[in-house]
Amino acid sequence: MWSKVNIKISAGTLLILLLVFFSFFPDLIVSRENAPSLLLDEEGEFIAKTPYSPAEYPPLGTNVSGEPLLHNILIGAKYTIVFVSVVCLLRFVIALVLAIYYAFYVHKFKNIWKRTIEIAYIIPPVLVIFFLLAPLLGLFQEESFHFMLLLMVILISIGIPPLALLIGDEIKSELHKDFIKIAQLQGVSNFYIFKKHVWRIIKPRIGIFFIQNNIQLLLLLIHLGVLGIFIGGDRAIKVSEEKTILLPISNEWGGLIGSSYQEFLLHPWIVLAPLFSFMVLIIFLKIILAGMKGQ
Amino acid sequence: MWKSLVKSCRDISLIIFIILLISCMPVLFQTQSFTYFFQSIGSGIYYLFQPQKIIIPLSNGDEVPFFAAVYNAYLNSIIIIFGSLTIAIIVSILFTYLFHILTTPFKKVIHGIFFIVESMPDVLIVLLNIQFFIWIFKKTGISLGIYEFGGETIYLLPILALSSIPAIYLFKYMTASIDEEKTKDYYLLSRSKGFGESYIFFIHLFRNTLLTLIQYYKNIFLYMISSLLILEILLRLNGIMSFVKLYGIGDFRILMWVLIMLYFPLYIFIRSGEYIVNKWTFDEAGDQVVE
Repeated sequence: MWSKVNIKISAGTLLILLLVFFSFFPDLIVSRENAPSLLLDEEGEFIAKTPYSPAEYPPLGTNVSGEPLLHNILIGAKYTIVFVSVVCLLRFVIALVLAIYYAFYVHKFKNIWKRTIEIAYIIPPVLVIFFLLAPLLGLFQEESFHFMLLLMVILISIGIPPLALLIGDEIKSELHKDFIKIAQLQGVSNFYIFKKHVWRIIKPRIGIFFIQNNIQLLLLLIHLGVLGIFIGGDRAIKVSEEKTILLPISNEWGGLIGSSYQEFLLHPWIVLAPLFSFMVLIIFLKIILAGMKGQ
Repeated sequence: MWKSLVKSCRDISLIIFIILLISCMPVLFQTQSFTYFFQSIGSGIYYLFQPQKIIIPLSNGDEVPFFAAVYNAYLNSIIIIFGSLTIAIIVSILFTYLFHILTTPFKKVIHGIFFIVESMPDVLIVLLNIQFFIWIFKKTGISLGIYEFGGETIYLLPILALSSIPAIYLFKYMTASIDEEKTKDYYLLSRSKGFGESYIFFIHLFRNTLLTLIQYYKNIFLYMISSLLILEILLRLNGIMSFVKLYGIGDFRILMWVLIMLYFPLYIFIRSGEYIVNKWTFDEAGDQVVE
């Protein structure tokens, strides 16, 4: 049995699942309580005040209110990972349906569609999403779930056309092969051709596209976080008497970056820690990708 | 010749139509009524032909016509984009040459390092670059254009920070295509004739690599524009991306015109690239789909 299991795919998937598991139970790794607001050493001398750097409060330091960063990152991991997986899955399901229709039935307008979508997607999707959502940020203060749903719908709809075109072109190139033409001459229905021949050939490629899409969506989420759009809205926290900052409600990673990048020069670890977690997650996904490509 | 001209005109009108739609969509979202949507499409068409009529109230109270307000920011952004693209091209060519000469165990190490560097998000690369320059400043006192004196804008740090992102992509694609070129027959012929590696690299392999590279520069350029947005926000630069972020939310005409100003050079770039590839290879280069 061990020879049939691809070591890279299983290692990558296992690591991601471990991350999600620890995200649901963060207390197993790091304690929940906030750090004391002033750090004293053995003689009771004052060393530092919040936020603490990784050198003063291992392993990753704290943010401005004293919450340990590792704790916040672990809590937010499940939102980020599950959100991205769900969006990609839905994108793929709908894009597959559209791609089948495109590949089998659209012949005359193929070039027009291709050119249109190619041109329309020269505008970075980040800009489009930002301009759609930025005016609405004020409206959704209390109903964070609706905002998340709206973001999900917009992300899915923006991702579908290029994906449908990609999969559709793959299917079209398969349909030109000789054995499919023979099958069509013998009177086989389109659905059967798809199910028996095309699906088996494109299945590994769709897996690769899925992981690549996941990685692109994670990068998009970082950009949206910097622009101020978090999954599920934000809450205001009073830091001191005059200053309040906006933190993401769900501690998701894009929000952690977006709420703290302005103090990058003062407290770089608050921004760098979620960014490094993104890097680790992308490395896991690339391990799965390397396993799929090697197959 | 005429056919490609007609095709370009059709593309351009398509672009303008799509930009119009995209600019008016926020209005649709906000007011949720189709009448406002069509009204804004109408006024968008009107302002399309009279850009000088768009007046922007600046923060200090004056009102300036559109092009005067945006000219400075646009120039900044264009300088940064092209500067970082040039540096990225030079650096990636250098690195590809060095990589080509190295022996195999080194290559494995570099592959491993590259795997990790490639998975870093672009925001992380930019922030690490900033930290690196600040560290250099602290150690040696050489300030490479980090801070600005009054009205003078900084260029060096943004250009260097932005250039790492296309450099990584270019390096990846170039090494992949050079490996592919090595399997071809003319390489074997040149080696058997006794030409040196450097000569073969720069004169023969490289030219054929350029062709495959032109197909990828589309993706690279797009990635750079979205990274430029993040860079401008992080460094608080006065560029066209932060301009559109500031003014474009309420006023869709500004959004529309800034998108057009971004789009046109990009479209000319892409079309000229396709034309060049067409001429050199007698092959249609339009098979790449933008994701």
